[in-house]
Amino acid sequence: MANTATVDELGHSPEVRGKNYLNQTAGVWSWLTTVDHKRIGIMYLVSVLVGFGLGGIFALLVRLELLTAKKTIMDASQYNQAFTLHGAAMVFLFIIPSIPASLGNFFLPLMIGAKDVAFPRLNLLSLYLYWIGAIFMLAAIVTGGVDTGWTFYVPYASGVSTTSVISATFGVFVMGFSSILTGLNFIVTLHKLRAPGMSWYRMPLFLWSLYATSIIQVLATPVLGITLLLLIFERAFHIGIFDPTLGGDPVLFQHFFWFYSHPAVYIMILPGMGVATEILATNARRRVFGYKAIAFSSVAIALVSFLVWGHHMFVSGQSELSSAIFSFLTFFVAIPSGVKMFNWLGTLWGGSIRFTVPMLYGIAFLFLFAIGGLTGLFLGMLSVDLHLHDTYFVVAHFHYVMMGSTAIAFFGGLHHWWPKMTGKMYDEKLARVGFALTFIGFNWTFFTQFILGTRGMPRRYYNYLDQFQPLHAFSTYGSWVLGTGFLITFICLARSLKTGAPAPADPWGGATLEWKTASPPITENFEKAPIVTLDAYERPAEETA
Amino acid sequence: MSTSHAEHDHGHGSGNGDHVPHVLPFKVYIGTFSTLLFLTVVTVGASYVDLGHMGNLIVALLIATIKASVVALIFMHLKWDHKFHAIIFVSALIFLAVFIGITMSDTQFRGEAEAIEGKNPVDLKDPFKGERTGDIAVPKAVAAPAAAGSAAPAAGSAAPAATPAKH
Repeated sequence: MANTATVDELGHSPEVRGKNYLNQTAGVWSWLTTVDHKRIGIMYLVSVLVGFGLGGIFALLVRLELLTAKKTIMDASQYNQAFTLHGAAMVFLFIIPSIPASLGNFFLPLMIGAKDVAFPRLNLLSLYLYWIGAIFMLAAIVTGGVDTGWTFYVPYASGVSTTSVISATFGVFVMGFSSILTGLNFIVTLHKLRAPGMSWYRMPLFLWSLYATSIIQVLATPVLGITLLLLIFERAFHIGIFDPTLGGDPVLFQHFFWFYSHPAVYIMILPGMGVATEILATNARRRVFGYKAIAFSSVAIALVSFLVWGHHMFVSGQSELSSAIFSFLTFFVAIPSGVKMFNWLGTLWGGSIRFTVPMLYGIAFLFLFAIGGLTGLFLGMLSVDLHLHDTYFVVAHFHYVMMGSTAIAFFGGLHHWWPKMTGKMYDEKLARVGFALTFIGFNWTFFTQFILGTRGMPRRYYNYLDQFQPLHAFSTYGSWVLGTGFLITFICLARSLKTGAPAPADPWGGATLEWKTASPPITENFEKAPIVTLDAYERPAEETA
Repeated sequence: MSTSHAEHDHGHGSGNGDHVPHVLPFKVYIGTFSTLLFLTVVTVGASYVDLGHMGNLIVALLIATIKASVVALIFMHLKWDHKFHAIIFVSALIFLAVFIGITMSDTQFRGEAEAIEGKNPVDLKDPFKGERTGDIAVPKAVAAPAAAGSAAPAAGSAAPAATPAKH
């Protein structure tokens, strides 16, 4: 099979046969002190899924409250906290670390033929920092909640809100370091630990997307850290930085915040694009069309992402000159995104497509990202944004990008690599049911919100005009279908751990290196270091003949 | 690259992981320190010369840039390091310039449109007053007062009331 010449079969000698990273050592302590990137990836996976569950519960509560135009299950203050915690948990506990820290940690070294990441201890430290940050966020929830919205806008967050803003923002501050360490680790690993023959242009495209993501993590996250620290100083010590009553500039906070948080959108979506590329290439059984175009478009998206933050601020009071510049620059993001989209379609064209469960997620990604991406162009246009700003149109748009694209790609990747990670196959039928309900429920919930938004329904409102009630109720029903879909998916995957059939090394006929080792892999990944002789996604002649 | 230090060639940037500390003669450090002190004196001196607000700013930034470059190149040994590290360093500066530069496109020009709008207030009941051009259909009854500039006298009896909006 593909990229290796020296690995015989799986390359495992009798001494290691039957051993893997899961059973090599046992006990909680062996997990808590491990420096194995695969175990750290698994612990990250469990952690981000807990974060997803937490965020999901708040999402269902928010939707339930909006079932009726007046109070349904909570009061206004509780509603503010519910949507804030939904956003904060989903963004900081789930999406940002989701693909890089779990799937990336597990598969990046495997895909380049390395034994581990460059700094294994730093990797473990990043996990602990994530946990410590999460504890601060959970502490905020139990000590008064947070009601500022996940964006922590001032002067409300720095001087008005009576909730636990400091604990929540400090948690995010600490988690930022976790993100930086992961990004740094990936950059160094990709530069230094590629197997012999694994040139940059032979790397699977998932790794190019992780590389681009890591650049953003390392460059942008410190700005968020400083911003939140300044916010804490202002709130705790009344040092005037952002609050106008203390001589500060509230719009400056938005510049600082979005300078990180817009690139952070690409921290979320770029790894999803990488996962989708792997799924599409494997299940279409084709080499990726336009390899370099996809690789460089990832880096281009990362670079352009730093130039467009002000499109979140068109109605903030920033200068018209600034708005015009940001609007103009925003459209540039569409170019590399479009390049990717056409290359994905080009990869499918003429391929021998198999509709496996991961492929269903992959195709759903294409469909949902097209909608999410294109509606972003609406919002990048100044005149249109004035009307749509802070409406449900924006809510629908970013859910199509974050949930519809990133989360769908994440779950697609989870299904794609689940046999490799756990050594178990899942029930395909049940997984298909989970996918179908998720896909239908998602569109049911969020496409409705595009319509709500264009009709003028503002976001973050507790009560609303009666005329919006039917659409809100419709969206809420969709959220129940969506929740059921995820529940079935979790049950399907969890059940496979007990009852699943043993997974072969390469259940999907993949061409990349992670499929050339056992499922689950041995602790060292490969017993002999692989030597790469073929391009990414290239199959040996005897296989394609 | 200096030729006086044997460790240069294998000490930096070779990618083999064997990092050997780079050592410079003591006199180079003293020379650098003296240069920095001298430039500090020049900075203070330049502040007493009135070159205008922008002039003084440019001189101060120029001296500061030279000082920072000396620190980065010699004290931080970037001059003898792998070129890739220099690219990373310069990229960080460009990144900072982008952040501050584009943010200044807001802070330096904020509120300018309000002043323009203040001089030319919009009539909320007729927001397109005087601006109807091209293929926008203008009802005849409204056309007369809405017409601006040279079109106003042509509006016949309505002309006296049609004071041009922008004068």
